[in-house]
Amino acid sequence: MSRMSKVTDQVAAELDPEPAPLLQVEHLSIDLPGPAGPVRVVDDVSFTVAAGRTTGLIGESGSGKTMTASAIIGLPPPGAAVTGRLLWHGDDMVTMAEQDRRRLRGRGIAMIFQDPQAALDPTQTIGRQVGEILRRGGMPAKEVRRTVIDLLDRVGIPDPQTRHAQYPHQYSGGLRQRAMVATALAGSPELILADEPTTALDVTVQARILALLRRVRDEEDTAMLLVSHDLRVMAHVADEVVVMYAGRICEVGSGREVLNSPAHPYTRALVVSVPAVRSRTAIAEPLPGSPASPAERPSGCPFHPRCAKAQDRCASEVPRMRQVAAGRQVACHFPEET
Amino acid sequence: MTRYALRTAATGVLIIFGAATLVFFIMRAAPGDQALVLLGPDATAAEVAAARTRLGLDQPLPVQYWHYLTQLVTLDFGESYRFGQPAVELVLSRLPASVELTLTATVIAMAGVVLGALAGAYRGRWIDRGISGFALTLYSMPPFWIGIMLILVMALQLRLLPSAGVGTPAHIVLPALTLAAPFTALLTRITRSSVADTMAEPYVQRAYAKGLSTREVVTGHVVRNAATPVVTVGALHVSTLLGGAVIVESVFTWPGLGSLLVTAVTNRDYSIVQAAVLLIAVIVVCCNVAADLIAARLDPRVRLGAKA
Repeated sequence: MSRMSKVTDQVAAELDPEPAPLLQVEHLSIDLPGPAGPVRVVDDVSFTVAAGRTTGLIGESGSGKTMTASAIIGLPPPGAAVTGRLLWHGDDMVTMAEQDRRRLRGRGIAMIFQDPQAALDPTQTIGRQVGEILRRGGMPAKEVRRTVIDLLDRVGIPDPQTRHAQYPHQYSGGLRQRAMVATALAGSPELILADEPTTALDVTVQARILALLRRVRDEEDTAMLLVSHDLRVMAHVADEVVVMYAGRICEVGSGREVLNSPAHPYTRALVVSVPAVRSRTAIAEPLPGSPASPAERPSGCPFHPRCAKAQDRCASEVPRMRQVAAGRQVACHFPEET
Repeated sequence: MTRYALRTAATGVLIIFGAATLVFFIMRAAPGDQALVLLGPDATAAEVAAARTRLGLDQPLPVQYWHYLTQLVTLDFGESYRFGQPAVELVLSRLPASVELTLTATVIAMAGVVLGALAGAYRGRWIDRGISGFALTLYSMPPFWIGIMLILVMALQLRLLPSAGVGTPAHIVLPALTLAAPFTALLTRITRSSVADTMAEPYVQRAYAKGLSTREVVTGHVVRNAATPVVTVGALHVSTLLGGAVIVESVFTWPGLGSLLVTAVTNRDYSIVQAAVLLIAVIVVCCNVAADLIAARLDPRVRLGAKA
């Protein structure tokens, strides 16, 4: 990047001051206790989630995406050491008092879990679980009931008058996930973390839940951090994407650009490994090798053992994040032309 | 719910019938009979035969069984040949003492639920290790041995508590503690694993994600979900408790059902054994039916007949 354009960017920023971002993740690292000492499962991760926007966190299993989400909601696994900063409207949640942190959960930041079957309490009615946060907030019972029925209606649960008094096992998988979305919406959060919200669902149901999430984003003006390994999900919903590999970020950019012309070889490999349904000729190219384990992270660029373009330098030197286009950052010594 | 209750009750009746049948045949399969015990080793064959006729023991087994069943329906177990009293009266007269002992032991054993919940909620911490170790130690010791040790230390050496008999409230302490020991250990272990498993459930994580405090998560979501296995397994082991009572009552000469049963078995006093065993079976079945109904109340999946 030339010095000239940097100056223009600065001028532009001063002329059109953007509001402070909703969530800034700065140099987030997470260490988990392992049999041979702590393992760094998230390593120096930084990205921003803007209000009302949907950010996708892409990665294979073990990439640290779910761990990053658990740190943001403030519920990392026991023994995890979280360092770095998580700025919520500028306030650091890592150093925040647990009580203030708890107040944010559910109301500031809500979470949708992967398996709606397991994430709903089997002994309580759906209505009770959706309304739990409202009841705790001191809303009168009648109003809670009305709000819950309205919420269930908004997420597309048919016959909410009857359905709110039913138990999770009386719901189908898709309806359960809708109920989860309603639970998340109940606290009117500014940010919804959705951890693989469609993975446990049938394909046809997935499409409907995605449509629902998109509608929620548009109608409720809620920001969303969508964690998924599924690029098709990302292509549908994400405004920005963050691609993670072995606990590090390898590419950041707008969803369309990153998925259409990936700059990092890993992103590219992910994109071409998605099978095309319509044509038989475009057989997916599976990514060779298995994902690097954070416990045995390769030296240099963690992706180099699986990378077709890897050179000597990739094995010795960790690539830094650098800007390749406006709003586009890549951690690669030899990025693809975009 | 009503259908579920009826089905559970019907199963209970079948089990009681099964227990009645089993005790009848087991007693008859055991070597020696009332006539031999009554007359002693010096009796002649003719005397024994006469006694058998008098007691109805010379009739074919199916006939005796039929006779037994018809009496059973009217709750008539015949007279104890040793005490010359109706067996039902004898058994019922011993029942209050046993109920007093087992209920006291159960109340003491409830400490296991509290200990187990603590251990489960703080799994892996020192409090869990302490409680789990304590429970395992308690579980490994045979009740009669615990009883003897308690008598040795508390009654004989420290002279704090009476070692046998009834009378003052102090008399119940040692037998109740002995009886409660294995049940406490059991409840601790079940509750611990149940609470620990529930704490790891995604819906508990989700409850935290809603901004609930640990206390709110535990009272709102963990207790009810963790209670079901505790209630079910706990009720299953009421039989262990009653079985333990037989031994503990003998060790402490507590005038309950258990000590009566032990004497009756040695004496081949069929009527008493049958009446006592049947009563115990009824108690066990009732406890289990109650536990099933409580579990159904706690878990809507049982109540509403879920597939999964």
